[in-house]
Formats: sequence, C-alpha cells, structure tokens
Amino acid sequence: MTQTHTDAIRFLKKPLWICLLSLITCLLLLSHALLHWQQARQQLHEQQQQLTQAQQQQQQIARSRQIYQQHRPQYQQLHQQGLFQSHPETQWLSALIQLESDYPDLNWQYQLGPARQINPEQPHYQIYHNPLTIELKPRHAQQFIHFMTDLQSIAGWLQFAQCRLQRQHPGQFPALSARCQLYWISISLPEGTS
Amino acid sequence: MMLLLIMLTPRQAIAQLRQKQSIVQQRQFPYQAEGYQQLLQWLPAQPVTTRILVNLETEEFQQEKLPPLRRREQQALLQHKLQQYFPDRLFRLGLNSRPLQYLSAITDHQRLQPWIEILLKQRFPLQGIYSLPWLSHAILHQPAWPLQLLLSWDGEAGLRQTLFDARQVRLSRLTPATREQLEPVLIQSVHQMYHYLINQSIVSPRQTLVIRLIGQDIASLRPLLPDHEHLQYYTLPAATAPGLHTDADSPADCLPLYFDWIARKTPKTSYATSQQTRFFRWQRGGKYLNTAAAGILLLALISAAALYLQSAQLQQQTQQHQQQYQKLLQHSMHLSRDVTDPAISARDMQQLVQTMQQYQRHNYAPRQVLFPVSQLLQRYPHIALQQISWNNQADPQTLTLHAVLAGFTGQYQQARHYLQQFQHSLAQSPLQPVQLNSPLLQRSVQTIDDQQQQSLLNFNVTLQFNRAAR
Repeated sequence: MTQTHTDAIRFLKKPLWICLLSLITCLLLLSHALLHWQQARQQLHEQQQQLTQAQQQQQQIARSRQIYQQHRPQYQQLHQQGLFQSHPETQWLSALIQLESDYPDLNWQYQLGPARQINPEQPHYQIYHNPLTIELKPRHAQQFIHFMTDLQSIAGWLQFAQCRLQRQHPGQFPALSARCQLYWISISLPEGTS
Repeated sequence: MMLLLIMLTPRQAIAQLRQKQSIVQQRQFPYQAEGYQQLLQWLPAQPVTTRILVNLETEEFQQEKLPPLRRREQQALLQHKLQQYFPDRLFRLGLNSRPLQYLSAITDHQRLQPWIEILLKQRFPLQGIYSLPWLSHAILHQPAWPLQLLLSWDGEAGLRQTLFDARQVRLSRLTPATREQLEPVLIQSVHQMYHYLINQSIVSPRQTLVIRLIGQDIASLRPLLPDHEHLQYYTLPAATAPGLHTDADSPADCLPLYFDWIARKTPKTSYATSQQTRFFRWQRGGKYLNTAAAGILLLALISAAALYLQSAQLQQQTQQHQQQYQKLLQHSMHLSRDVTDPAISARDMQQLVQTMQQYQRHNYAPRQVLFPVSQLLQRYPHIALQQISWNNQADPQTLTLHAVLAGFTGQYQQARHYLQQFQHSLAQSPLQPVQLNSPLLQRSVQTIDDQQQQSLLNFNVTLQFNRAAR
C-alpha cells in the first residue's frame, strides 16, 4: 500500500466509519420502524377481520332472534302437542287401547304401520310418519266426529290423508261406516337435546 | 471552522489563522530554514484547511488569441500553450476566456516549495495556491471596461499594478516600495506603465484607461498622479471596496484586504496541482460523506418517525376496533341470551314450523269437513247424503259427496230446480264446487222413461277446499 493510499485512508477512515455507522443505524431504525408498522398493520387487519366476523355474527344472531321470536310460539306449541317424543309408538298404542275402552260399541279396527323418515336430507332433525288406518261403524256422524276428535287429542300430530264416511244399506246397524287413512307424525331431535 | 491563510510576499511569508472570518493569530516567517522551522512549530496540531496567496514579483503573464475550437480542444491548446510559454515552471495556470487565452506562471518555485512541503508533510489540506492578480478581479464589480488598471499597495510587498482586460488579468507588476518610497514609486510606475501600454499598443493614445486606486495610503496620493483626458481615476478605500466587508478601522495598506479576499473567495484558478491538493480533496470527500451520512440519518429518522406515527395511528384504530368488537360481543351475548336453544337452531326451527304449517294446511279433520257440509244440507232437507269422502293428499284437496234427491218422484222439474238452488248455495259456501254430475241437469225431462226415474235423482258433487276460508 502506497503512502497516498495510507493518507487517503487516514483522512477518510473516520467519515467512512461515521457513514457506515449511520447506515447501520438507519437500517436498524428503519427495520424496527417497518417491523413495528407491519405489526400494527397486521394487528389492525386481524382486528378488522375479527370485527367484521363479529358484525356478521351479530347480524346472524339478530336474524336468529327475529326467527326465534317469530316462530318460537308455534314451536313451543308443537312441543306441547307432544310432537317431539322419543319412541312414541308405545304411548300411541296405550292411548289407542284407552280409546278402545272409551268407545266399546264402535266396533273399530286400526292398523299402525312402522315409522318412515320422510326428510333424510335434513341432518338436524328427523320427521317420521307412522301410517294409521282406521275402520269403524259409528251410529251417527256426531259419534264419528267425537271419536276422531278424541283420537287427535292423543299426544303427537295426526295428519288425515283420506277419509270416507258412507251410509249403510237401509236396515243395517249401525247406520254408518267410515274408513280413514292417517299418519302419525313425530319429530326426532339430536340426542340429548329434546 | 479554522482556516489557515499564508501569503507569500517577496520578503517573507505571512500566516494567518482564522476562525469564522475572525483572525485568531498572525505571524511572519522569513524565507530561511529558521522560518520554515518556526512555521512547523507554529502550525496547529490539528490540520486545517489552508489557502496560499502568492503576492510575488516573479509571476509572468501571457495572452493568446483563442481560435474557435471545441471545449476539449481549447483545453488541449491551453496545455500546449502553457508548455510552450512556461516549459520548466512548476506553478502555472491558464484560462480560456474568449477571445483570449490568459496564461501565467511563477518563475521561482523555490520560494513556494518549502512551505508546501511543510504543509503536506503535516497533512494540511491545501485547498489551492492562488495568485493575487488573478484574485483581485473579484473586486471589479463595475461594468467591464475594456482596460482597467488596478493599483494597490501594501507595506510588505509594495506597489502592485494589475491590468485587466474585460476582467481578466492581462499583466501585473509588483514594485517593492516602503511607505516612504511609495510617492515617487507610484508616480514613476504609473508613468512607465502608461507609456508601456502605449508603446506595446495595448492602449491606443485616444483610448480611455480607467485607473482604480485601492487603499487610503495610495488614494491620498491621487493629486500627484498625472492628469490626462484619457486617464480616469477612481479611488476605492480598502474599507469600502465593493463586495468586500473589512472592518471600518482597517489599516491603510491593502494587506488585510488581500487576506480578506482570500478568506472569503476561492478562485477557480489555482497553481496547485492535484497531488498538492489531495488532502483537501480527501477532507472534502470526508465532509461529503459526513453530510451524506447526516442526510441519510435524517431521512431515516424522518421516515422512521413517519412510520412510528402511522403505526401509532394504526394502533389507535386497532384499539377503536377492539372496543367496537367488545361492544359488539356484549351486544351479541345480550341478543343471544334469550334466543339460544340448544335443541334446534333458528333456521331449523323456522323450517320445522313452516313444514308443520304446511302439514296443517293439508290436514282437514272430520269436524272441519262435516260441519260446513251439515250446515249446508240443513237448508236442503230433500237431499239425502249417501257418502262423503275427502282426500287431503290430492292437490287440490277435494271433497266428494254422493247424495240422492228424496221426495221428488215424478216431479223432476221441481227436483232440477231444487238441485240448481243447491248448486247456487254451494257456490256461496266455503267449499268451492268443481263439478256436479246429475242426470237431471244433463237431459230433458220429457225424454225420461220410468225405468230411469230412480237413477235420475242420484247426483254427486266434487268440491274443493277453500284454503282462504280456513
């Protein structure tokens, strides 16, 4: 190394060091500031997303609340009707036996079929139909209506599909014969929720 | 910032140390080994920027016409001319200023070399070696006269006459003169100079020559100078020289003025070589580096401050959003408190209720069917109902009645009228008639034979449940 180079280094050594230190300081400072800024931006972004989710959730809750308020009375009524019983067939049969004793002269017959799910696509609750066929010979229409009203009062939902009421030939007793096809409807909710 | 000024006069070197234009120290050094040693001892420990002003009589000046050339070629020509006129001079400089080239050189470099060597040995950043005649054009702020003669005197060097041609140095002469010798030397020198200019045809006899006198001592001798119609004198006291700001009580001679000039002005033309000014260049480079570092640091600080400020704003926004989120959360909890049902979701509840409503619409129980029918038939006692059936699964849901008209044997006209009335009543009832099939309404009564009598009174009617009436 020549003297000139040595002299140049001697003159420029300090400024170069200062420059280098300044650059390092700048880099550190800017890196820290940038990191800080990025963190703040990221936090804001996350908070915004959280807020948006909360807003959507609140809207959903508000909608649910509206739906609840609108449909809860009917839903509770369905509950009171005994629509959500688990294994209702036994209760129905008991009720039918009881009804048989209430109407001993009606000479009626019934057939209760097995349950069939009619909404397999719905994952949260299941609707079951139990077909029920009833044949009876009432003395008059009023008795028929009374019987059917009592049948409907059994817990659950009784859906009338078809009914036929006809007069017997003159001289035959009882004067009327009837045949009705019904469905006994029950609803099953997920385990432990009903 | 400290500044070292060294003026080389014919007799000695005068060094002046300044700080922010104020004189800190001044000392003379003779052109001897003793003087060099004294300077070496006197120099500040820390190297400071140094400017050397040459005020010697051994300075030569030349002019050449400048042909129309490109800048690079002009520069090459200048170097060539310098080599041509001053082949063995170490200190020489030139300037291209159309239409002339101005050249000068110091003939005895031995007077400069020792001082320069001392300074370079001590690594003093030498900014330049400047010529007093070249420097003195700085005071010529007046409109450029073709020719101006500047007369200045100082007690150290003597009388200096510098001829300017459009602000460029044409020639310069230094005549040693003490204060006592100034009067005769001045008168004689002006005479000689004027005649020299005439003889050399630098000035034509009818051309006006402007003579500027600087300094009080020389200005006071103005009445003794030759008066001539082509000679115009202007006195410029040192304290009021335009463009310069010396103290009001400055000495009468121009020595302080020269120091002021060199302290304030740094002419572009310098005798110093790049090798001699290397320390100054490095020092300047170092300053540039420092300035750049400071600039970068400042820029980084501003940028960082802006980023931190923005970060603070972002954090503030985040906090606001967080508060909003907390409020929303509380509100949502409040809302969901009385709507939460673990059994079923709201949507499922809605769907279920709607499904059951749909079932309800298709669920006509015997009471709902038989009551309106019996109410209607109470008004028609001659209609004996044989069968009633309804189908809730059909769409639309239908109700069918099979009946017979009683008590109209042989009275078919009346029977038909009775049936039409019944039909009319059906239309007004909640049960909408779809179809009524009766032979009575299809045939003419006169064409009926007895065998068909009984079947004529049978009829059936299909009705549709009116949902709106439920």
